[in-house]
Amino acid sequence: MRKKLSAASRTTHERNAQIFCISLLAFMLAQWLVFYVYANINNILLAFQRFDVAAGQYEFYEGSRMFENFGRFFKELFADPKVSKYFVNGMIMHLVTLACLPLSIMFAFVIYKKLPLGGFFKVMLYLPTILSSMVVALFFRYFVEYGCEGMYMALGGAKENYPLFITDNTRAFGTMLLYSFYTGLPGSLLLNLGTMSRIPDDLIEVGKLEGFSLWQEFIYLTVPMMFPVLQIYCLGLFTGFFNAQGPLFAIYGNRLGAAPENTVTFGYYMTLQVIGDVGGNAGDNRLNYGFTTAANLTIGLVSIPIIWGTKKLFDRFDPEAEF
Amino acid sequence: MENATKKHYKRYKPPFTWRTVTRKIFPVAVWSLLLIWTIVFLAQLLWGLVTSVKSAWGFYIDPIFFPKGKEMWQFSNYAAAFKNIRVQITNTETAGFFRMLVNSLLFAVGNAFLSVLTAALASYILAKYNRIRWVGALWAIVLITNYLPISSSTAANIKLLNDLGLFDSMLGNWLWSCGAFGAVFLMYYASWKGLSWGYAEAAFIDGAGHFRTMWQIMLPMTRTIFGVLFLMQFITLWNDYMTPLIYLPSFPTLSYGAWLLQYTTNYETADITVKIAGLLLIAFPVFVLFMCFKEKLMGSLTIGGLKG
Repeated sequence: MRKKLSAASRTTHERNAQIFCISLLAFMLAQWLVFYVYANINNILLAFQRFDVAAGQYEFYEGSRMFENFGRFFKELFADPKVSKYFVNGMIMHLVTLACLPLSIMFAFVIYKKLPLGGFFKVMLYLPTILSSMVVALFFRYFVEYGCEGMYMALGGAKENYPLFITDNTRAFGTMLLYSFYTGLPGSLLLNLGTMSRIPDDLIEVGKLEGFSLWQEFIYLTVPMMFPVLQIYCLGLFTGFFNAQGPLFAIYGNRLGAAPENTVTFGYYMTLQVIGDVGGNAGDNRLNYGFTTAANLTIGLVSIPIIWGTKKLFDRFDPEAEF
Repeated sequence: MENATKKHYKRYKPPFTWRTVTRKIFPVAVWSLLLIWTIVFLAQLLWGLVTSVKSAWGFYIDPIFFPKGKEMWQFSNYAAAFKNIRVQITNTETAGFFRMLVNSLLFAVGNAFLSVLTAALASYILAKYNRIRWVGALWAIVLITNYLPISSSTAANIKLLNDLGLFDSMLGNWLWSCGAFGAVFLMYYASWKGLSWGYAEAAFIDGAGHFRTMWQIMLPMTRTIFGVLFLMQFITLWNDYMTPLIYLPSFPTLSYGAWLLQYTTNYETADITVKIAGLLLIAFPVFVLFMCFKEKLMGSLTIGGLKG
């Protein structure tokens, strides 16, 4: 029979536990302090700075120009109709992703319930996750540009009448939305399946005895039991609400003006400000660092109440939900 | 009597309401939608595969179906893509396929291993030592930072890495990836929570210390989840072309090279068939990896678990 730890050895054990925790976490905490805490402080500071090309260094704006970067952000956002449109485009693109969430859970449910071809569907739905988003996006681009054009011609259409879905300014945004919807449908398949598989068998059995159909099982058992995970999804979805980029960088590249004007999202526009055309360490792009950081910071601050509001709403709806 | 009841059930027809229709249609509708999605996705993949082995002329004549005739096939598209996946680092320095392959492996294996290891260790402490007050407080901070939408901008990250002398450094990138408190942490945390502390208590009674208990008893019991998370991270990083493009300009990876190939317009790479072959070249290794570890990868994973 195993003996229990004595009181003295329990004290030593607890002290050792403290030392163990501190020593194991020391490196991770130091890393977190540098790459999260300091990075965010640096982020805030950069929002008040500009790059001096002649001196080759960052300098703070002084006096009344202190909020210059924020001023530029608001000016562009509200006074420049192009940038306002980018902002709305990003939100629409993100809403499309949000619209995929219920369908992706339903897809996972069909696989979880082992309906015909479930195993095959599982592999197919997981494939876009393992393939690079860039590969999937460019495959889609070429398929729409050339594959569908070929089918159109095979059906008797004339090549010159085939719409330019990727490059035409009036059609490209719709194509990008279709792409976001199409690639958003698999969702987080593994997490959904993993969570569903942990629903106790007893509950499902009770549902069966009550005569639940698959729809009723989905609505009254699966979704409520997945509530904590749904909460995480919803909170996560709001974090990208204002700066969603979509597949634009993969499909149109980093050349300014490559994407049709109507498709540009605010996230893509911001990315191009920092790494547009030539890459990360290009001198000229540094002139935009302060501005993009101010925009990022403002968007982050605006998002906080939205996220906390959503969290409160979830708590009110089901206060027992836990992580 | 029993027969009469059966008869009664047979005769009974539920009233036609939208609710009954929803019940009946739901599985069929979702299944059909799933089938359509799968067909479109497969058609796209198959079209890409066929196109990648077509000659430019064969593609021009028939952009959809299999090449007809020997001269329409062109497997050398892969060789052309292999040769032309290259990145100009400086005016005099260019990275070719093999250099990018090494960079890809260093980037993906190093970052994946370090990020999962640090997440495993940190989540172990937070899941199993939460009786210690400051550990409990740390858990609250982790949750808040994970759901706060504030993260430093790309520009601020570039500046930070430059300030620390870690920009364009693989070591710097590894250090950066050691962030233990992200999504991998939450997944590992859930698996630690599901593992009984009784094993550790038995080890303590037998005289094992905290470190030995973690390293020799507890951590090996989560090797499957470690492996799955490592593979998932590896695949994500292998596919990541943005991080090398932004933060590692001297260490271009294959994904970055394949992306750049799409915008390269020299004689050999102008054809769409070569560009698609380039995309498949970088997709192939992860596809093989996926097929080898399909069962493990698609096992149970959960964040946060279930209610109740």
